[in-house]
Amino acid sequence: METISLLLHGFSISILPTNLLACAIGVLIGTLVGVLPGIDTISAIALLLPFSYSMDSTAALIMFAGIYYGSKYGGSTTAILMNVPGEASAVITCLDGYPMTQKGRGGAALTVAAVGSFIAGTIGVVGLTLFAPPLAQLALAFGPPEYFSIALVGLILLTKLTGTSMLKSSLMATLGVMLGTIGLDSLSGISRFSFGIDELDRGFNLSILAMGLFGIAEIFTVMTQSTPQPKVPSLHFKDLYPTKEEFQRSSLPILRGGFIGFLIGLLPGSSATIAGFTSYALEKRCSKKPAEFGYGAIEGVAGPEAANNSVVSATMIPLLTLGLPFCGGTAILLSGFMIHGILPGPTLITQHPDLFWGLITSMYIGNLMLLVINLPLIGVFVQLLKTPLNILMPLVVLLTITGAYSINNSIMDLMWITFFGIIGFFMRRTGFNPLPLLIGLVIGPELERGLIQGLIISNGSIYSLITRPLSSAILFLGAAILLYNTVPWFDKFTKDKKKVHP
Amino acid sequence: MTERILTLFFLLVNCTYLLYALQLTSGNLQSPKSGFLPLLTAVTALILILLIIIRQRSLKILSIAKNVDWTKFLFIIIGLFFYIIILDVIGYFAATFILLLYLFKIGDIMGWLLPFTLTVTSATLFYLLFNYYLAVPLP
Amino acid sequence: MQKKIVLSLALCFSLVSLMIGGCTYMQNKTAAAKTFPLKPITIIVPFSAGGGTDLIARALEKVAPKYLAQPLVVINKPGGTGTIGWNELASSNPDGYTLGITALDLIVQPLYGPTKYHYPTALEPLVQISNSTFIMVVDAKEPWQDVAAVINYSKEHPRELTFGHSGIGSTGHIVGEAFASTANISLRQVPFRGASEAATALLGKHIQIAFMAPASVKEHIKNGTLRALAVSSKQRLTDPALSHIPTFTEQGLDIALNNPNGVAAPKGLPPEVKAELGAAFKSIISDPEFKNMIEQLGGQIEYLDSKQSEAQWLDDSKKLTKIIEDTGILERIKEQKN
Repeated sequence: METISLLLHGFSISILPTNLLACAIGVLIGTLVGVLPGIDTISAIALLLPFSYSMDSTAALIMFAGIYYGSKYGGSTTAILMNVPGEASAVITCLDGYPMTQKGRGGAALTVAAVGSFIAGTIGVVGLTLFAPPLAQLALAFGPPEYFSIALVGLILLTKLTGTSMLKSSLMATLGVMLGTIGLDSLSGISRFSFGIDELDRGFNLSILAMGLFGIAEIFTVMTQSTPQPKVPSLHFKDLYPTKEEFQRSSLPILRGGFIGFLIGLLPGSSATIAGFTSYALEKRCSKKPAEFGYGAIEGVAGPEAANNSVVSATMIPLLTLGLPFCGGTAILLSGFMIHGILPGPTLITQHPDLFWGLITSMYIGNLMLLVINLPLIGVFVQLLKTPLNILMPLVVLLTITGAYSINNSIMDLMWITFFGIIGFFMRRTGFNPLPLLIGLVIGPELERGLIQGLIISNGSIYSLITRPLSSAILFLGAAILLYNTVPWFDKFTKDKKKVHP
Repeated sequence: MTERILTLFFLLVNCTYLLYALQLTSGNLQSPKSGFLPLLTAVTALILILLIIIRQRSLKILSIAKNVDWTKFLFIIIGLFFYIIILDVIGYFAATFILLLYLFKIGDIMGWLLPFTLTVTSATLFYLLFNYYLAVPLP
Repeated sequence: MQKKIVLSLALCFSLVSLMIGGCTYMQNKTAAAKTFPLKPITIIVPFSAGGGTDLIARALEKVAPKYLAQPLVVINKPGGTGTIGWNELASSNPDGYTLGITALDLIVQPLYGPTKYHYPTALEPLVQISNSTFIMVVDAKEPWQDVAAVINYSKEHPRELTFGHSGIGSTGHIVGEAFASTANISLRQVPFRGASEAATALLGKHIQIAFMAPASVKEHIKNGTLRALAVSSKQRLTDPALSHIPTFTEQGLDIALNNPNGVAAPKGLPPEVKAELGAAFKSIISDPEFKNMIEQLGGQIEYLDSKQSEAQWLDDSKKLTKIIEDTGILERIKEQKN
């Protein structure tokens, strides 16, 4: 009950006009940042840090937080409409969101994404309110060996997500991990595979790869079709919103996604993207029509979008209770705190209760604002879809390229995006699915980090690495699921061979 | 056919990677060094590629050249490369202008007035948006 | 249909222009025109946002408008323990519009092997702002109350204790190894991708010791979740929350390593520009608001002007060369490169 009174106190603070305004500005900017491919949350917040100096600290932080979770709402827009992820974590939404648009159900996808994000975001904030300190301790219990196990299990399981061929997906995942090792490695202090080229030292950015493999590849596919595109059926008002059936089908995924996202957000790393992948895998497994995934299954949009929103709240937990930033977004938020002279940590709740509770309640309000803002915008966006493809596509090209440039201001990145676009184009047509590549890219560094650190900590013994309680639990679970699925695959593999060598 | 080429491409990339990975120390289990994971992954990828190649020899590959206008494809690629090269030289606005016009034409838009106006509007829009509002330094 | 397209595009255009207009209104700062800075000055922070160097830069950014006609704009270029950002700085135009924040790694990195630029000679320091130290922390639940206890434990259980740092060759790593070799014990080092990762692992009891910057651990020390055993500076820290921590030298170990942060520019700056910047920074550093911000982060202002900074760089360079050779860090790095 104490929590309720604290929450009420918090609301009284976040309702103050300055804070409300800050929240509104924050979520607006966040949505814009999310919609535009390339501009990422970290740069946006970093850009606005100087402007916040003159603002009151609470208002400033509310605004930054608004940008942070707002961008998760916006990222799905371009992903669904144009197959270009506006934000790295939205890449999984492309998989089923874009096919839905192609079928004329784009508006429905956007609505489900917005509503799902709202529900999950709120679930996340509730979790944050109620369970912050114990969850923080839980998060700490995960050490390098656990990260390794999670990464390994995650990599293997997520690779089974899509694609017709297990072999090809595994290859893609492995190549993704390899791509992830390119660049300056801070663990060892040297740069690998960079051939002395400065640009390569930075390593491959997920956004660049995603934009190339998905966005540009899609543009190639659309623009080079020799048969004229059938016109997208004219959309009626009711097409903007999901049907009752679609709503029903998305409700469980949203809840599951919210829950999963929250748990994954407690782990360090690119948790938003990983949460999206995991939710997708989970939904595919739980769905009654798994074959529909990849062709416009609404669960494939609802789950991941929900997940990457509740991740935000979860990542705030280590930040607010321990002062530890687990991902890029919270790191810049930490900067924001420190610039205003506040060091988050165990004493934050007691020393700055106004700030703490005000911030949390502003997240509730912010989520609501985002829902209200995004829903009408869906109509606007869908109108844009009516533009004929041959006008729309070049604009999308421009958007993607400019966005890509804005990440690192590097022309080389643009070359990469084109290169990967070409490869992606061919890959799609030959059954190599680009998604495991991205999964490998994201999970690879985590895998390596966990492996190396874990081995040093356990003094080289793989045995003790595996037998730590948490670690072994994860590996066991993973092995069980894997075995459950490998047996039929193995059958198929041998059967196929038999077919060909009669 | 394309599938085989693609697989071979992957093989090539993999072998290059493997070559360089061997140059890095792998260390041992007690103190794994920077070459540890790269070596592991390169070898795994190699095995997978070989398996795929074996499988490809036995299965029939479908032709994928359906519905693809290869000339357009080539033109788009040329256009993009051209854009990237001249971006720094003549600046964002001009380069984008040219690219958009070029792409619109590839997309078979009739006439000149419509593409022209569209190009100008969009180029200005994007320039303003990114350069001023988002403070992204565009060339 | 064409009308609709044009209409929607126009709508977008006006919406966007409104937003742009709104924002430029917010950003409006009138500045008196002077000769030297005529446009905003970029400060490159070669580490990621949120780190100690980044915060110093942001503090500069905040206070600068009082003393400089043009705003300072902070850009983060993380990677390679600072080398990526410093490479960019060294290759930029020495016109005074691109500056960078410096840290000890600037001197350390070239000692490990050929870097793209030899920073101490390719860059010239304008000012030194602060001097930060490293605090040796352990989890509060551990029984060791001081450095001696740790050393004894380690002698009884060789190679059992682990310490975390933010990357092989990083300053945290150097301090740790220096500690181990001066105390004649063997510790295992665990690399992490940044100070906060190391802090997380420490709190989760996956590693036992860490050498961290004050800002990362100050709150935890105050709260009692972490115990600080020693600081690596020559004297104790002045911050009231941290002044109880004894130095290494007080506890009998001859270690005195600091992490100086300052501002540098590529070599070849025109003297008037250099003088102007130097004066401006001097005022910024003496500004009480700036001092406050830095001290909140656990740093200590220690102003050195350009010449003194340069001398300090040379001094540190010699000291560090010796340390990394003695502690075997150099060997280890060379091993990685095979």
